[in-house]
Amino acid sequence: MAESMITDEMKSKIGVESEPEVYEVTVQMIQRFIQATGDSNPLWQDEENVKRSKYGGIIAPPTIIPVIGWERFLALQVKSLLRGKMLHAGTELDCYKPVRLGDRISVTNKVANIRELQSETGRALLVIFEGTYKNQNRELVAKCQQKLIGYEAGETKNG
Amino acid sequence: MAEQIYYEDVVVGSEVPHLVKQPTTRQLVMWAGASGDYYEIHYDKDFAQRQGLPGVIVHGQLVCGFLGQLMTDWIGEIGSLRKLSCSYKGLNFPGEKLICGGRVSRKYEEAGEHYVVCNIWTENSKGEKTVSGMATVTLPVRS
Repeated sequence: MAESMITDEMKSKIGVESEPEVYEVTVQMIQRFIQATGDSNPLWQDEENVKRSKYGGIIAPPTIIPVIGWERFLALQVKSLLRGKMLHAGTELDCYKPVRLGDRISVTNKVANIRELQSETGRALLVIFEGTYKNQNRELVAKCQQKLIGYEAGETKNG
Repeated sequence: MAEQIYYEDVVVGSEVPHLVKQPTTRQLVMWAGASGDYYEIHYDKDFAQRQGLPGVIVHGQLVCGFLGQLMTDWIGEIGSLRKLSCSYKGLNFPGEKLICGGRVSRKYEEAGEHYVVCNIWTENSKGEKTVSGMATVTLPVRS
């Protein structure tokens, strides 16, 4: 039987929460996000009209949450586990509070689970990360689970 | 904004109005900048092919953003998106039309809130469902 792909070093990372990193939700952050997705909802940008909305000001699309701190997350946490060919298998987002313009979002991440898979082209690792997002008032804004697959060899099959 | 939809208006089995997207390679680069995901399979064709892919592919999380928009467009200003899950099952390619769709699977009241659960998906031009998931929203009531 082949040696497990899951090393002791990987196992030691499971459940260990990262140090929090804080990101301010700026106009530029929201604008770049909605320009990339092509989302013209006034809630994300129409400063005058949203004053009369239930939020009383601009909010960000809920799907901006997984993107907050994503670059650092990929560079530090993901790359320390998955070094080669990699694909994103899934996202699960739970939203508890709106993300408002000007919020300072504190992000922590941990590895929730690691599993070995047999893909069509060889062995692969499925790593489930769990991010926690809090605002400046220490209110829980969202939780997000990300599933990433790292392939040992061969072709990729997922998106 | 579109007209507000209310909990009473929602029928289990009914469809969420489709959202059609056709992401370009330019859009993928914009998404890379917006999200900080600079993995080369999303903009470097040679790199993508060396990884065994037919070509550059659309970021899964960009499609998640499209499905988020599908729901936030539908629920209007007063509705709230509570939960969204996406399973990236197939490949999406830039230039291809993507139809984002949803169907109401359940509605219920809990702790004074009115929840609607939908199955959601994206379908490519071949009719293949490349991403599927679930969304839970809360809607206002008329009375």
